[in-house]
Amino acid sequence: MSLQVRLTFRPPGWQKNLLDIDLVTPATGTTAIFAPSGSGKTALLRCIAGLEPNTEGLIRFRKRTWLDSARQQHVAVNKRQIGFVFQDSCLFPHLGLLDNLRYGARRRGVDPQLEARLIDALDLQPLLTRDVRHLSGGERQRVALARALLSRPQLLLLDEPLSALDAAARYQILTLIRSIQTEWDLPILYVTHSRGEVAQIADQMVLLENGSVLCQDTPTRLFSRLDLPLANRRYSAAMLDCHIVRHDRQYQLTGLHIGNDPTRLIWTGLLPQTEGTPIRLQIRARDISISTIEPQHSSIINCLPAVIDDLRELDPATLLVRLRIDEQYVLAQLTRRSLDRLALHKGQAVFAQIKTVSLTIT
Amino acid sequence: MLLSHDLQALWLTLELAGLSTLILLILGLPLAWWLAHRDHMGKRLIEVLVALPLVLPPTVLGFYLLIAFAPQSTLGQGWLALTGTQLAFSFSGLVLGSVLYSLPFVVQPLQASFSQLDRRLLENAAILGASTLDRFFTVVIPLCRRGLLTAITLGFAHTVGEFGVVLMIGGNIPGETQVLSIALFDHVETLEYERAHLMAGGLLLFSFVLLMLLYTQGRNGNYRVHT
Repeated sequence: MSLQVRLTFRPPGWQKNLLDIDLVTPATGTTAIFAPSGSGKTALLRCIAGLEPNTEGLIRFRKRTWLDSARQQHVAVNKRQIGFVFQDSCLFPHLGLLDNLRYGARRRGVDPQLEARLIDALDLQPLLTRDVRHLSGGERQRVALARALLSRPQLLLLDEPLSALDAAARYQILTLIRSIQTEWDLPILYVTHSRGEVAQIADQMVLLENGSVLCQDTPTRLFSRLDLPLANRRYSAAMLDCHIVRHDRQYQLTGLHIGNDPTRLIWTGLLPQTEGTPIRLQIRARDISISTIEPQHSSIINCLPAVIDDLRELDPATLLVRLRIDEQYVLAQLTRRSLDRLALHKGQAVFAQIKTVSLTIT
Repeated sequence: MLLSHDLQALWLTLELAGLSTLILLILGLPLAWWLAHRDHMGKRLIEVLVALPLVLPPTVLGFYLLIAFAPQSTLGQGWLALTGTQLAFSFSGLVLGSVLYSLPFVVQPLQASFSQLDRRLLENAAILGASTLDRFFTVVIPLCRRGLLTAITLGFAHTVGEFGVVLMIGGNIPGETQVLSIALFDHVETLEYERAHLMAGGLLLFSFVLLMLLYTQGRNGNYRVHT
């Protein structure tokens, strides 16, 4: 059960291919497609949906072949049963909001219960009487998402669907997408350049570069690699898969275990989720400092035993250090001066200090 | 009072305009769609051909059609073999001439509104499960309503108003090819000014009301696609 994509795409009038993709992802869970802009992310989704007639190659989803150029096979867009939310959603301006929502559902079977649930979860009730042409960007995106989900897709393609929303709404909608996905076993391809969205939703991640797949793995593993363009001076941040073990209401903090190791506790600001909830923490490389002995008099609460796994020079003054904590990795950005002063080297046991206030989950 | 053969001319005119408009829509919709979404030399050539009746004197078009309809010509002979009647000076010949003559009035407004349509709306409709025909009726037609209305009105009214082409290929056979504009000319020739007035006034009023309806309709139903 997978989505298999092996295609080339040359836009009309182009001399070379915009895309040259070879990709197999499990047809379950969320696969984030992460790339700098202009690397063909949107085009890839459009090719998979069947919106680009110049696509050559093979696309198979679960047991169905959507495209096989060699055998002249091509399943029309409307027969692929896909949900697709574009970056700037296109609502039908001649239809009312409910008719917009039901456009897909009417063609694949209306489910009044699901409709009521989505209207409630996406807070669409106050919009129902509004003219769709006068909705704000965020409102339009919520309608478009509900419309796509109501058509009961087998595969959901999301092209930066939340870029028009604020952080709180984004978090809430990602949670909704996540729960519907689990319920329906709905595979999602999620194009984004937001690390926070990847951290919250992605099981798998595909890194694109110049129209090709650079690599593919879990976000946690990819963001902690030193050899990828993700590891750079401005941007580096690793992710730790944790789960909540307890809330400290007095100090407004939440304690999380890293992986399955009960001895390693990491504290963040108070989180709203209940105990046991898995959380993927993002830790920016510049928010981690290294100490060779366990600090006794530091304001930093989080101090985790770690092993230096690898080092990479970013520029003559700065380095990235990859630290292994339990089975996972984080990155720390240090000056060369600190490195020399502490005589840090590969394989050395150290302590990673992480400021609690810097930890974010969105 | 209109005499019976004036009424006959009126009926014939409406029949001709109605039938021509119907054929024009059937031909014009796909042609306009094709023109709105293609861009190459072939398209330019077709565009020019479609627009020709706008600038040609109707008698020029009529003259060539007359030659093409002649029983000795390929078209004339083919038609004779197919239907057993001749094309020149027949109602069918008039319909054919009208379709050619009014083609730009139908194709151009349609093409303009098709090319304004946001393609992503059609893509969305397809993703949501709508087939080509379904998309055409639930997205294209409602969003291009104004263009469609303009095309129908202009196509119809222009056929009602044609004179030169009809004169060349239809002649003046009551009940077969004598349309209002020709009948009017007839009345003036025979100095029956009273009946000419009635007919001319009637046509003027008809055209005015039709355009009035179109303009007010357009104002209310002008759906613009926001991008």
